[in-house]
Amino acid sequence: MMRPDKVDDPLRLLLIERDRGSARLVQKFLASADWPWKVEHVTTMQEGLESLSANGVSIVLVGLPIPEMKPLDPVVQVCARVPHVPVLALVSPREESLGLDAVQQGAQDYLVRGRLTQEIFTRAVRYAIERRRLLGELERSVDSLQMSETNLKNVIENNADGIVVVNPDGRIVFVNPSAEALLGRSFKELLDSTFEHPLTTEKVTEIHLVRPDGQDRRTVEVQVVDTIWEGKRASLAALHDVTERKRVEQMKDEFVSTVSHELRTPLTSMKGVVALMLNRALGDINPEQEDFLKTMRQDIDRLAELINNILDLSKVDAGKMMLVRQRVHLPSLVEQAVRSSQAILGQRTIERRFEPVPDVFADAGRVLQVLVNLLSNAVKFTQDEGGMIAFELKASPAGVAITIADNGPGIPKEDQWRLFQKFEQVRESWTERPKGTGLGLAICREIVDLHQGTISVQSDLGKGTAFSFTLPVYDPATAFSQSLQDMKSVEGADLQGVSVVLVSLADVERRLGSLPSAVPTISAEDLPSAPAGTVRNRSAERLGSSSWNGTSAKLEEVMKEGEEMIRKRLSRNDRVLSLERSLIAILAVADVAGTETIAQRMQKVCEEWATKAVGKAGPAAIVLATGHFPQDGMEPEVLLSAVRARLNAAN
Amino acid sequence: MADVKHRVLVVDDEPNIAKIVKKQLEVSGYDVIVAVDGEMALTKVREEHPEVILLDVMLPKRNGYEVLGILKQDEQLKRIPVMMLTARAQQQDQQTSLEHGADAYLAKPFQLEELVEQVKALLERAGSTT
Repeated sequence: MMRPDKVDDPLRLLLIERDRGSARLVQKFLASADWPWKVEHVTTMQEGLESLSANGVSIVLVGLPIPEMKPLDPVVQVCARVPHVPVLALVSPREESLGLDAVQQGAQDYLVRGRLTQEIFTRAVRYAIERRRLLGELERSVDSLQMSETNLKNVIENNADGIVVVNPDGRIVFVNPSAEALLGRSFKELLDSTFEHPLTTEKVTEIHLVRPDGQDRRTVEVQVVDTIWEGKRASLAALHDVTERKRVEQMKDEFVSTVSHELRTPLTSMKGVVALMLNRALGDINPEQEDFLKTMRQDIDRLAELINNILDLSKVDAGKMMLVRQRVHLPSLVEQAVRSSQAILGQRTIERRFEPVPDVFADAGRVLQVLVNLLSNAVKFTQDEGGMIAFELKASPAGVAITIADNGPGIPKEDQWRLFQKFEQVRESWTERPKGTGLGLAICREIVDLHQGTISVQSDLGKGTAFSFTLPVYDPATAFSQSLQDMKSVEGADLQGVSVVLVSLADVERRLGSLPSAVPTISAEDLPSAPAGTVRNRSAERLGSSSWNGTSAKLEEVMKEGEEMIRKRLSRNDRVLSLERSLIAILAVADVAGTETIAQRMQKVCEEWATKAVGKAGPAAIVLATGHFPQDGMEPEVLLSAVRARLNAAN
Repeated sequence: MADVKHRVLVVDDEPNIAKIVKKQLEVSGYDVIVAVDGEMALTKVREEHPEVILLDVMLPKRNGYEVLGILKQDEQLKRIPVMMLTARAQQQDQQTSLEHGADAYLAKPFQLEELVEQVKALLERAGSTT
């Protein structure tokens, strides 16, 4: 027989029993047990309870009933006094049912007087002790489970972030109090309702929550992770309230915008005055005056550039530099950069080494900024006389590579890595004093990064320096979904939706005399050295367009014009793309009425332009249709096919 | 170019800018009037019948959009082409300008030559449709 605790100490048994015969028997059994027992025998309940409070007892044997007490009270009282000590009841053969009742009240077992044998008694005691021990362990582990559950519960309930668990059907299965507060509804109301926000695990999304009563608009960042809930896959969304942070950011933005306005206004006026004088609007000027006015204009431009650079970098830092990417014809952009830098070029020769390259998908204004920056850099480090700057365009695996090379002094290897760092100036070895702010190349890198391109430098001391960057090729389908993506992630613009206006050019094409025919198609693959601008046919075909014959080239030209024309009339935030035989405007306007107004204006303008474009073929009708994100579809393809269906219906 | 000078209203609360724009347009052959706030702009439109309006967005009394809204709801005045002068940093302005019915916008800081070009284009377009 195993002893549950230390062998040296005798186990103590308290016997509360009036029947002396039974008491003697118990003592006799214990005397011959295989470990030492100490028995204390009392005959009244009061003595028993006193003894319990005085001693550490291993087991209590209570003889029932005890006079002047309800039959089960002794058991109840003992169990209450020493809850962790096993209790056995001793009953008379006539009252065996009392023993069962005693077990229900907390006794481990019962014994019947007159049927006691050594074996029955020893086993009962042993099991009682063992059962009590197991019960104790169970209670302790339940306690510790409860404790850790309480801890976890506290962590979740008191979390300042809202926690929402959503099952694969999109229904809410759990919310914590912070989430209740953010969503403005109680757990009960939310349970089994649909969670109305996108659940993407890829990135943190920002949502706007308005309480059902319309009060208290909160900006919330949502981070979603996959989890298991009640044995099934589920999504756990953590809602982090960033309203306050956004408010501060907005204040900062407003401050920056006010300051920049305040800085620019006087510059604009200074520049204006210089322009007036140079234009001879204020009378004739002599060559020396003209020279000094030009010097002044240069420095005004430098100051303006500095302000713009600082603002741009603060935008990049805040993740607020937003690209307006569209189809860009690089050779013309290079020309534009050269033209706008004419004033600083001096005697330097500009070389153009253009290989035929496809159009790229880029923000023309930003890429122009990179080109002008790199060009002015090259100007700074080349001699006026004998200075040579070369622009190179060629296809690269990443799209198109643009290189600006000069024949300046070159940059030592050990300094090259620092070039694209903010405020870094490489001096001494290649120039005696710093030129510029050291921000230009940092901004170039940021802009190229935003285009998913790369920028690098190649330089040899004494030979010159070449900066190269890559831009992705324009592809209408990708451009459409990316533009939509770009616009959805516009920060600060408080963009709740995007509208799409699809302009059909079917009528224009008909009037151009090129009804769709079964003429064999010419794809980009057939034109290995396709001139810039035709490579998009490949994607146009993938999207289901068929014939691109000679007349279509004319149509394309017309479309390009139309694209340009619509672009001019929209805001900088909007995009215009051409896709198959249609033009698409993606507008940063969420409401239907606003879109309709713009669409009507677009229709008018397009009709004027199309009529002019088809010439003698008579007035052209323009059919357009509008669609809205996210109402008409969350996915670009879905949205586009919804608008297309509308357009077909209108046709 | 017709013999009669076209009249242009320049609305800008920055007196220096207004002064420069006025001068450039005058040299380019226009008759220029200036208003420095929204109220004054509306008065000048009604009294002096400009053919083109250059309207700054940030104006005292009534801002550029309010003025634009009033002009475009007026049967008589809505035909006058309006070009909004918006801040480059406030891209939203351009959107709002067009939604309010502006005929064009020019982002500040602008080149004087560009401004003259645009005014010419607006006048040509207005001339061809009426």
